[in-house]
Parts: sequence; structure tokens; C-alpha cells
Amino acid sequence: MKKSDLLRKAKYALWIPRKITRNPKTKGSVISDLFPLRSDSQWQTHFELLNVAGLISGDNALTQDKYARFIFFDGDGEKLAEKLISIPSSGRKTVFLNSESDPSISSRASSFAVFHESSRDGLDIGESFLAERGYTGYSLSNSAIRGYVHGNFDSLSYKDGKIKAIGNKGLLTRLYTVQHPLRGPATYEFFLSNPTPRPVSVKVLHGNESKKWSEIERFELKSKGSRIFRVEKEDEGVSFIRIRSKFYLGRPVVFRISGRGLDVFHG
Amino acid sequence: MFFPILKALHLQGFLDFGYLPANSWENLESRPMNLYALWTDGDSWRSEFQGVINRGENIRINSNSLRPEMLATGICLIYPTADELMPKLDLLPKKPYWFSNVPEWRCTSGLFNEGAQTSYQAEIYPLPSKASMLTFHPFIQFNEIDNYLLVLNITSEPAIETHQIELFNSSNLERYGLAEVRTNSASVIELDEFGFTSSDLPLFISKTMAGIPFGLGIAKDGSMLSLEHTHPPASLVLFGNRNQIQSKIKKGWFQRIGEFK
Repeated sequence: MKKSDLLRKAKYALWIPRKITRNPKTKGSVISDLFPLRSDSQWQTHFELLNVAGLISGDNALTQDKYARFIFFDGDGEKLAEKLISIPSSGRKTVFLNSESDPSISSRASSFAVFHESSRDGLDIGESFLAERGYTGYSLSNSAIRGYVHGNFDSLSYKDGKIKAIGNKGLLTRLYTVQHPLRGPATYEFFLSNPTPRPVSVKVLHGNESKKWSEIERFELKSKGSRIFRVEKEDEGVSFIRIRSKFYLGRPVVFRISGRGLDVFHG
Repeated sequence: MFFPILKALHLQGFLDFGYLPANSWENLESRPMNLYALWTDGDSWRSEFQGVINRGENIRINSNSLRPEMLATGICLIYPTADELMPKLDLLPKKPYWFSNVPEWRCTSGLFNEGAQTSYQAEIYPLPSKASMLTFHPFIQFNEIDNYLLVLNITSEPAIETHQIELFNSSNLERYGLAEVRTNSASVIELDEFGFTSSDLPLFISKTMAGIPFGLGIAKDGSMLSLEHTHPPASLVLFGNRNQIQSKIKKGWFQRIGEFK
């Protein structure tokens, strides 16, 4: 066996035994992604609030008031605010999240989680946990419509007021190559969050077509923290982004802004 | 594993992919790969060599660079392989040369017009011929926009079969209409004509065909496009036996729909 293969298999053995997301263990916990909050004079964020428990049980018509718990975090993962928003009785409520029009959302908020009620519903979901993988729509002030993206990965659990980060990280540093070649002219903004319980150091590498990589950002993400970094892509050539960290999956949400168009997807 | 190039309505499609895995340890394949375009004529899968991609290279293919018959169903597949393919195939090739699990090896696939583009991170595997689809669709937007449902289906067999999809209001189970979807195709359904309101959560069901459902939004002035797929019902929960829960969710909804008919 070649030395490189042996090394790869050894790394594989170190990484594989753990999953991207840890089981919350506490029965009745509910799970949410950590969604990017773009909230200023330029950006608008809309969350599609659905009756997740009703969709599971097969009855989406509400007979009593139910609420979802929206929790907002700053870039350091500190909880800033909490709001109970009523679950729509008609199926869908598009919740507009903006700190300028809603003072209860701090202007420092950069992400949010949405936790549904679980235990009260008496859902028959066995050993599973109710999860909000969400659909969030983003628009710029000059956008004609919203660009939607679903949740990136399960990040937090909630039970009786306690929030836990349930993402895993590995023992060794690894590379994640964003699976989107950057093409200009466009502005790219990458939202990266830390779903693990501990701080994680991150290096962001930018590579050209000949795969010469240069470090463009280096930062530490605290647990539940998030950061946006930007790449201006002025030419039409291709380039790539790599995330070097101990994340199992260092996958960002990508915002591509070009003209009046906005394209948002997980990378 | 295949990468889809789409064409829908007046929009062209694009596929942007690299011979560069998402992680540095799962797949160390480095041989040059043949890229084949695969499309169905209804009787056979047709294949056509597109070129070779070397490790580290990146390629973008636009739908307008392909012949019309290659996108007659709205979807053409790109398959990287170390093998040579015959021009006609009875079934889609099974061997994946590019693969990874954390995450899946994906490309950027999307649609564009003169001024905007929209995309998602794509890979596609053949779906079972006998299967069903149930999806809740929160992507309809209002005012200066046209809304569509886009359903992707690929099966190993080349047949193009027509199936029905039913559209309901998920709260009161009122049936809003019926539309057609096809196997091995990107089927486009105009949604605005059905009269869903901003507080409705549409429920789309096909009892005979599986598919990957997308919301496609096109700003009336063409300045922006929006494309995102919904999760399968299993994504409403995490851990435990998700497949069993998905079956239960589908069964429950199918049963309720049956009771209301």
C-alpha cells in the first residue's frame, strides 16, 4: 500500500467514527439550523414559518394556539433576544426579520434559530427529534423577488430553556472546498457558523485556476458564532474557496450578488 | 452519480463543476475522466462524448451549447467516467467515479436569462421507477413574479412516462388542481393559475412517481430568478428511524387526502 493511501486511511479512521451532528440525548429536545440573518438597510430576511408538528402528524389545521421560539445570536454566539411567534393556522406565515423595523431584534444579531414545541404535541416520532431545517428568503433593497435557501446543517438543540450546540468537529484540521466555482463579475458573501460547543479556528483560502491558494481570512468562531467574509470577483475567470478548520463540514451559505440579481445557496 | 443540466421555459441552464472533491480524504481519484452527456429519447439512453476533464480542472456547460434533442425533456445528464460508453444504453451507467459522503460531491446547476442566474448545489441519482412524492411548497411569492413548480425525475430506465401530480391546500385539504409530470424529465408547472394565497401552504402529491421538487420564481422584469428545492418529509425529524417516519408521514397524508375526496 502506498504511503499516501495509508495516511488517508489513518485520517479516515480518525474522522469517521463521529457524525456531523451529535444526538441531543435529552428526550423531547427540538433541533434547529443556525440561519443567517441579513438585517440592515440593504438586506431583508424572510423565514417561512410552518407547522412542522402538523406536517408530521398529517393534520396541518391548528385547533389551539401554538408558538415557535425564535432565538437570535450575535457573531460571537451570544444569545441576544428571544421571540415567540405564533404558528400559522392556515399553513404558512412568512416572517419578516429586520432589526430596523423590529426593535426586539438587536442590530447586532447575525443568526437565528427556530425551535418548535415538541413534547406537547404528543408526536409519535420514536427516537427521532423534531427539526427545523427551514426555508429562508433573502432580498436586497433593489431585488424584485426573494432568493430562497434551505437550512445548511442541524446546529442547535433546545430543551427547557437550554440551548446546546450539537455539531461535531474532528481531531485533525481538514479542508473543505466550496463546491461552487466563483465567476465574476459578482460579489460573493460567505456565511459560516460554528455549530460545535467549542471555538474553532478557521482559515479561508482563495485559489485561482492553477490552484495557487492564498489565505484571505483567518478568524476564530466561538460556539454558535458566525462570520461573513466577502470576495469581490471582478473578472470572468474562475476561482475557488477553501475552508481550513476542524469542522466536520465547513460548508458556508453563499450569497452571490450580480447586478440586481441575488443567488443564494449552500456551498 | 450524475450532474444535471436543465432547460426550463425561456431560461437557459448551466452546469459548473470541477474535478475537485469537497473534502481532501474520501476520494483520491486522479485519472483523467471522460465526460459524457446522457439523455433519453424514450427508448434508449443516448450518450455523447463531450471531452476529457483532468484533476483540478473546472468546466462550465451551458444548455445553449447542446443540441435541442439533448434537452427535449428539459434535463441532460453529465457523467464523469473512466470508461468509454456506447452511443445507446438500455440503462444508466451505475459506477460512480466521483463520490463522497461528507458531503456529496456536487456541482452548481442552475438557470439564467440575460440579467440574472439562480442555482443550487446539485447531484442526481436515479430514482425508483415505482415510488411516490409528497412535498410542502412554501416558495410561492406574490406581486411582480411568476411562480412555477419544477419536478426533476431520473430513473435508470429510459422510458418517458406521464404521471399526475395533485395540488392541495395542506390545511383544509381543498384540491386546487391536477397537473402532469414525466419521468426522466424536468417538468414545469405554472402555479399562479391555481390561486394559492400567501398564507396557504400548498401540498403536492404524486402517488406514482418520485421526484425532486423545486420552487422556481422569475421576476416579471427578469432582473432576478429564484430556485430552491424542498426537503423530503424525513427532514422534519433528525436521528431515529427517519425512513420509517417518512413512510408514516406519507401514509398519513395519503390517507387523509383519500378521506376528503
